[in-house]
Amino acid sequence: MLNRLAGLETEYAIRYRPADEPSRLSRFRLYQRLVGAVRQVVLTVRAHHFKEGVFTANGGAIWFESERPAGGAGLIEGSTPECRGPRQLVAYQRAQDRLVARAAAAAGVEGDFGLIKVDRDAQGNVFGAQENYDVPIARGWRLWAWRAGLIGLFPFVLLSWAGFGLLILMLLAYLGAAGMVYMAFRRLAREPRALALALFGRDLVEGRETGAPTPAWVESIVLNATRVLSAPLAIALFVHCRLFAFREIRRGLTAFLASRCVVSGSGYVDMAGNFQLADKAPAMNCLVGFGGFLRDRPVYTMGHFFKTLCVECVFSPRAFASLFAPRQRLQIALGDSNMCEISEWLKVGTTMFVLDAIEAGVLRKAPVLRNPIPAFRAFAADAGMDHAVALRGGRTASALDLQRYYLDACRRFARHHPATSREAVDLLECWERTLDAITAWTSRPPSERSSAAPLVGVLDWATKRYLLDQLGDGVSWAQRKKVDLRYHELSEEGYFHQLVTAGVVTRVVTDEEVERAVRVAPPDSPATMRGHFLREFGDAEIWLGVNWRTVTLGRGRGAKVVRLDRYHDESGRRTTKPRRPRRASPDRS
Amino acid sequence: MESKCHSDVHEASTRSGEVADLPGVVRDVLADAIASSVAVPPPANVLRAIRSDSRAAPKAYLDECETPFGGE
Repeated sequence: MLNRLAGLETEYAIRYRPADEPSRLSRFRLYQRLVGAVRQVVLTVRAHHFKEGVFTANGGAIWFESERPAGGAGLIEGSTPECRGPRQLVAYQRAQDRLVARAAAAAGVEGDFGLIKVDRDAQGNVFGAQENYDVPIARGWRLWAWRAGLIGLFPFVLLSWAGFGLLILMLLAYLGAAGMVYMAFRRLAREPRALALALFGRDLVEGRETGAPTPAWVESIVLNATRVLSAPLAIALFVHCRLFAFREIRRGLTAFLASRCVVSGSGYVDMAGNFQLADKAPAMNCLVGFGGFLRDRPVYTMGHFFKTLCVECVFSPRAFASLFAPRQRLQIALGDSNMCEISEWLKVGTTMFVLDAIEAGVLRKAPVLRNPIPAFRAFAADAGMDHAVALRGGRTASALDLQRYYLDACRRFARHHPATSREAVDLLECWERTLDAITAWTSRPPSERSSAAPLVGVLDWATKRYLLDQLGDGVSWAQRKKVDLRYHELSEEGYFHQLVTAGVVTRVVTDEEVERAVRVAPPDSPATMRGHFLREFGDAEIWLGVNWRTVTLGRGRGAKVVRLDRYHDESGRRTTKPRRPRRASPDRS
Repeated sequence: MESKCHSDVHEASTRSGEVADLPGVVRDVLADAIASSVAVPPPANVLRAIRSDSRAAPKAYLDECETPFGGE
């Protein structure tokens, strides 16, 4: 129970004010400075991945995430190592927050530079937190249909690859033509460097990695062309995922996720100045999607399947084979970026509990929302927590009703489970006490609610609402929004940090546990082996290629590949000892 | 099997000094915090500092925090 592999991804907003405008650094440069400072604290190895990033000694990673780096966009993302158990996951999330916060402070950037653990900025850009849980993708005939469909998708995969190949040839042809144009016009151009930048982009002109391998206008064309070329695969995969991927899980989990904001919402001042319980939920516009392919913001993201088919399979047939496994990564893009440890612990812990119950088959009659996306938004906007939404079957339920339903179901499940852990008991108790406290608060007259918000220092939305109430009346939207954002700032000036220093925040993990989690990988996880090899060979002469699936030692024919999914031995008993690496084969990733 | 696995994990966690179960002291603090309507009211000086800081150039702060991802 509460023993599945799970991980958190957090996209941090960047707060940056250069000392003076000429010294302004690009977002990629800020990322590089940050990683440089991280290296002063822990060993890192550059990720062997299609995305720019580094893995750290604890098996987690730090990435530069951007769709248009040449256009100046980008943010810094952290991924925890694969953990087991909610409390362990909270410890590793805190370790990641602490590591990047320290690195930002020590990065030597002139001016103000810091990170904000939040899900959207004041301009409406949405990013933030994602959760990953190891769950069965399907069972019975649906699992076989999923596998058969993957084979059926392969012609679409080949079609996309052919298109990408053509695109690469066109890019090479463009570079040749641009070279001729440059040679012909550089003497006539008033600023040859500006002409070169417009034709070739910063990387080629400056002869170093700047995060902008092409000019912004080429980047835009390539991005749109990629979307068009992969559209047939995207449509086919989308239909396939809708029909077969995580259907049982989605059916049992969706009403829980919609109502989860009452305990795990981080609070949000919307564009109209209203206070909402959660900041990510109002941005959701579909249940299933790829996350940004066509401006979709799904609750359940299938983008990792899409990336595997489009990119990873090119280099590794094993990546394609991995999609046939009965257990896959369920990615939930709904969760808020929590500052309160209790909020975060309840968010991942109650979700793991419900997933355990669904897998055990005890939530087959879970409530189903009639209109899921409007329900997500309605619950997030319902700061009074008395709004009821329609369920299938004609009933209605509020977010608190739904949370009570799931709490009772999990309690019954735990009572009859032979391996109920101490953490599970603690979690159920905390969940119930929290719902009791919220119920007591909502039963007060509205005039008394604002002055005594319950659960300050325990739940994020309550803590943030308390701070907003302290501002008094007649306060501008910008001032309220500053409180909303600066609450999440990972620095000593951050409002949540100030509350921690004042001792008003309830902790779930100790500082010693967090410090250890910065440097050591969790046991019984693929991260255990990743962290081991990273610490053993991270500063050795041998080339080390690290990603989520493998560790590769050396290059060429003599390279050895260690598969991280083999962190348990043949008897089924898991072990933290790394296996002996095998020789590299053509299918290494 | 599940019970065995959990037991192994718990043993491994405890052995290596990793995160184990919720410490008793945290559990007690949590119970007290949730039992009261306002867990521990933030000190007045902290609230004053936050209120004062929130008034300082809020619009500029919001602009400094703009973080486009590029996929919008």
